[in-house]
Amino acid sequence: MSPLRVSFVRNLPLKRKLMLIIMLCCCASLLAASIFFLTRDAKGLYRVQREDLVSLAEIIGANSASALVFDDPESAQRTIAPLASKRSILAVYVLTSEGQIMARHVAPEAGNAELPLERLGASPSPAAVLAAVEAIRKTAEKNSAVSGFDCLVQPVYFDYERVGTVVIHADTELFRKNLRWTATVTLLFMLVTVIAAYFFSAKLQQMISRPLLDLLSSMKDVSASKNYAIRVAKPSDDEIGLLYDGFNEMLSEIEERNQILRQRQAHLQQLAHYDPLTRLPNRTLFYDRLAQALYQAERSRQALSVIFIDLDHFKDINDTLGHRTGDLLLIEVASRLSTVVRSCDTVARLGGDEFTIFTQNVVNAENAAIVAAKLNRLFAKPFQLGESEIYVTASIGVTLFPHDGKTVDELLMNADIAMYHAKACGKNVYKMFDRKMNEHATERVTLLSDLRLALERDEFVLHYQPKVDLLTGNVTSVEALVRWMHPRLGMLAPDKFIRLSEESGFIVELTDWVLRTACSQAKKWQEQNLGSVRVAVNLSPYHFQRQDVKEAILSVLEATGLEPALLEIEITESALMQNDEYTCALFRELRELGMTISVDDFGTGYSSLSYLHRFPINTLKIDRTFILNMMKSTEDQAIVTAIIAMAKSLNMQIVAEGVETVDQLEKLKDQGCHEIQGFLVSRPVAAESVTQFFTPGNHLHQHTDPAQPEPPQGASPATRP
Amino acid sequence: MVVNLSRYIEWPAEAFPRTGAPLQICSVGRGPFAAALEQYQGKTVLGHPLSLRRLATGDEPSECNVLVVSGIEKRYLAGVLELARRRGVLTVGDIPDFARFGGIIGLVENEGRVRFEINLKAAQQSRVKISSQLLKLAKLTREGDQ
Repeated sequence: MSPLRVSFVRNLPLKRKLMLIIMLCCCASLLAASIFFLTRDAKGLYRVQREDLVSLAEIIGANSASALVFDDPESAQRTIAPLASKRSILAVYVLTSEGQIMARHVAPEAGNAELPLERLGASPSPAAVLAAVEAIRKTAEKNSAVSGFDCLVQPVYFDYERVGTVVIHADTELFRKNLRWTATVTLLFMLVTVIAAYFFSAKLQQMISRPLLDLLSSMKDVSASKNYAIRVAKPSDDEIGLLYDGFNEMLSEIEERNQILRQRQAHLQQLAHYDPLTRLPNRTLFYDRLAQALYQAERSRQALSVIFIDLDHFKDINDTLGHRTGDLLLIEVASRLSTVVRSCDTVARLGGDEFTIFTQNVVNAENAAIVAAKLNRLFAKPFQLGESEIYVTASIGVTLFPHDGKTVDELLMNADIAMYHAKACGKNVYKMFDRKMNEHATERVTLLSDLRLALERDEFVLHYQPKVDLLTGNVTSVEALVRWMHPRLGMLAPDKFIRLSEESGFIVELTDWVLRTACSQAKKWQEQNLGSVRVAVNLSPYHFQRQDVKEAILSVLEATGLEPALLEIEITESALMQNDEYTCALFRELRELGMTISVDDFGTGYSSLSYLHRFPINTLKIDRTFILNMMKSTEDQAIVTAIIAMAKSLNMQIVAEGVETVDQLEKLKDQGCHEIQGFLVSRPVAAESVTQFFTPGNHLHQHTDPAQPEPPQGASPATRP
Repeated sequence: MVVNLSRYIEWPAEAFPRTGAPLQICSVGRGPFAAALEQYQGKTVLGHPLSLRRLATGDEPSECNVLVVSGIEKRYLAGVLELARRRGVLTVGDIPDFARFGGIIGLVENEGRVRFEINLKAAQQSRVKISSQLLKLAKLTREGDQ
């Protein structure tokens, strides 16, 4: 078979294939059987006919032998006369051995004149007869089961002597008719059987094909509908049954995997779109929803507000109360925020302590302001976080679509800017976005890129502000304060760039520079014999997140050659509280080296006073706001008194910051404050200028003398870097 | 002719004491018919070698199985036949009305062909059986028939 035909058979449908096989087997066996029986039948018929003729010839021979012997044609003729009634016999001749026709019988049918002996004529010569008989004998040998037995030449013997010959011509028509009939019947039988087999096989093949086709259709159903919960009912316990079982098992497996996959997808979806801590939508989902909301708002020509919320001092809370508490606070804030908004609005946590809300269908700016105010009020009540209860405020920036921006990014950026303005305006307030704010924001970005270049360009300078002993009037130390000589904006105070440096991480390099410059300056003063004055350097809380603070300080001291005793480290209250075991150990080491440790802006943080004694602190610096309000507010006065009393009892040095008036000086003196720092003595000045205070003597004296007041210079007081 | 005839005859068992015993054909008279026998000398009939013998009229046809009577006078015929009948010999003759005179097979010329007349009674008396094949060719005759 050619490959084409093989593939044709292979690609036949299962039904057809099975039927083909059954039919082929059936037909082949039928054909074989039919051929066998037909052949046998034909042979049988032939034999019977032959035997009939031979026995007939023998009878004739036996009965006509005497007639032959005694040359009696009449008798011979009588012998064969009865054959006239036998229709299958065409002609019978009895011949003498010499070739004389003794008796003849020829059936009166047309065509018999064509028989060889008839063609010889009425009285043939014996030789011609013998020749014809020989020809007939040869023809007889060629008779077969197919052609039938049509002639016979039978010698007649009498007492071992050949006395004559009997020649018989038979009609094979009957034989052939019989054979034809048998063949026809056989063929008909075959046909009927094949038809029956066809219908039978059509039924029979279903035993195999039906379950397979059912399985196939189930499989198609499953793949079309993707419904893997479908199961097939097993039709039998044979291999097909096993196939069904396997199919079901595979479906179960797929279903199970699908389920797991769905769960994982849902989980991933959750992870991808929700903040795991607060369960609020995350930045991605918020952006997505906001984009949709913007699209709808644009179509329906409605306004929409985007609100940016940032917790005030969250970092301090995290640092002082721990990240766990910080997390609890975030969760609590998230749940409070959710109470304010409508179901169509979205509250999201962008990260850190930043939350965003957008509200749809905002009628006007007032409406948005009302929402923002409502959000502000959410922070009026304290937050109960585990054991502790704390007050937290938030700064809120509000933008309106389409007024303040058309895109998600624009709206969010502007809300962020508005929020920064709210922070700048004293925190715990909301600000509506204003185009002017943008300019500030741009300035911020420019400033940040300038900041990175400032060190290389050597744009930073240090100013020094002296601290004066209230009893002796001598300068005890000078605080190094950084200034930025911006090429375009002029001299910038730390409040313009410290927060920026902290946010960008630049603070580490900057602090390092300040430390190095201050130390080498102090060393220079010492070498110039201008006096051994301590220099105080502020360390940012960010700095304390580095584990190598001590190494950094020591390497600077080594590089500059300054004695540790001439270095004072100022840190804020919150830096003190964070990672307190580490901080405590660090300060102890620094102090053992001879350095002085001061706590800056004391009174503004969250430090528990009871912890204070655990730290090896030399000096507390009372925050300027207390000093500023001391003369007006009795509460602030009380706080100052309390701080001084406590510090004294803990054997700490007390420094009052931001002293500007003689009244304040007198008051502090009365309270027993040790040192003061402020415009009253000197504003922060360049390194050359500060040396005038190094001479021993009462540097307070000039101020106590009303004739020589120090006029305050600059609009705002210098703040720590 | 006689030889062929004897092939259709069954003799009593005692006629051939052993297998291969000769078939004795004896002839009486000098007719042409008897003379024709000579050519069969040495042939075998039904397993018996032929043995020819001439007898004189009045001779006992002892040991003869067939007695061919040809060319004798009618007055001697009855005697010859009588002798043969006693000995169980098949008698064949070409004398007209041979069978009617008591012979068993008489040969008659008819339309150029030889025909038989058979006297069944004589055959019975001689204890020879004549084959039906021969009988159907023959005309049956009785003694005294006209």
